[in-house]
Amino acid sequence: MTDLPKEPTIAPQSDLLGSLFSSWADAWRIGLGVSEMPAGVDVFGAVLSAPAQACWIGFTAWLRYSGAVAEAFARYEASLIQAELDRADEGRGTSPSAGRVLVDETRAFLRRVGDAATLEARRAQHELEQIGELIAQAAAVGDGTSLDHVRRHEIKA
Amino acid sequence: MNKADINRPGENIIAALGFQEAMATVRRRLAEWVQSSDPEMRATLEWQFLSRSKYFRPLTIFSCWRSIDPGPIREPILNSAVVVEFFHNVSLVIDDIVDRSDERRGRPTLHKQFGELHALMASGYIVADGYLRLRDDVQAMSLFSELLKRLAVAECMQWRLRRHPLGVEDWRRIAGEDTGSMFEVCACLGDRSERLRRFGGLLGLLYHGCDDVGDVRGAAALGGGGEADLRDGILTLPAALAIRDPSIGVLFCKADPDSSDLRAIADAFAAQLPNAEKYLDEVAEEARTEARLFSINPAPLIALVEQTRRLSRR
Repeated sequence: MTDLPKEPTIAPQSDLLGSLFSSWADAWRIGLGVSEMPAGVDVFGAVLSAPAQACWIGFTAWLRYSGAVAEAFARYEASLIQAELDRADEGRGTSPSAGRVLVDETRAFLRRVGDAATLEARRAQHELEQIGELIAQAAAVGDGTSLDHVRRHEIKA
Repeated sequence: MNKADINRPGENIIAALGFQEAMATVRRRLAEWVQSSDPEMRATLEWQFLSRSKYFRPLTIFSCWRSIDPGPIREPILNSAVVVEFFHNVSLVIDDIVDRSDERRGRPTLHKQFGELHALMASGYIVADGYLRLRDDVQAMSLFSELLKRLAVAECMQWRLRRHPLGVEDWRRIAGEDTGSMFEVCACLGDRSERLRRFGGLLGLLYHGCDDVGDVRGAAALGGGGEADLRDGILTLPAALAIRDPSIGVLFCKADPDSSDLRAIADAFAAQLPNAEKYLDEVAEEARTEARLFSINPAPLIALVEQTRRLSRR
């Protein structure tokens, strides 16, 4: 399909830092005219700005990821510190059931960090694809080429 | 184990999302297929397929399609929605045998009505015809193969890990492979681009968790099943939270709990309902975020999340 998703604008409430920088990124892109890319736009200029956009997307992804890690740490801080203390104490002061809870909480922390990394990687990939497709569409409009080749979500069967 | 009887999305959500015609096609094709089946199998298949299913999985496939493409539903998507009911029903038949369930959707289960031989043979028959219906849809074949393998692994894992003092992360892993895999595959069958795979997984996790909570609430509308999970020491979400208390953990792990043990466990599970609901709210929010980030039109996906989330509160 050729219809492209709009730039995502909704982020989890807790991801304030990431949302802030994401908004700046949106404003920056709009300033460049890349997100609109009307027919007759300077395709050459847009292509040249692609590396800068890629860097910006990577940067905002990193910021959001850092925010998510900080949030996860804050949430599980007590358990993570207790787990470290137990390890130093070789588990002598902790019952098996309390130990299991600490392990569960530590695993939840690690999963959240991993989930955040995966989400940001997928989100960045999605945004980069959108920019690439906008450039291709603008170029196709400029030289009168068909857009059929950019139907990314065509049914395979 | 059974997560099927909370399939009560109702006609209102189907109508609200504009899928009446597509759903009518699914029902008609299933009925035609049953009528064209071997006479030896027909009564068995009629019993299993022509009951009160509300087709939540086809609805998920259609919603994922609609969230990516505003155009009419294409034939491979429709066909996938029919075949997912085949595979879903196979999982129900097997689940009912494993769980020793006597009733489903308010009437005897397939093996109770026709015997285990018929139930098992019908399962094989349905799987074979499911693959035949896919014809040259290689992508769907691959997804259905993934589904069957993951369901098999999840069922064995869930059974092996029963009566173990595990945690919420273990529950998440089991639920993600059980109901999660079913909805992951539905999402992939609908969007055909893997963009919504994670959304599907989260929707399945939410569905599984809401069923767990609904069972503890004793919600008859959800089909019950809580007693069997309790008796078998199945790791549900309320169980994973409750057995953090060592005294409940000991009771939960007992091989042959008596009635007072079961009552104490049930009370402890009920006490964890607020925490379980809070956890499910977070899963629902994750699913909404996925929908907003990776679809063109998140509205149908968010409607699915809201519908599913309500299931634990019935």
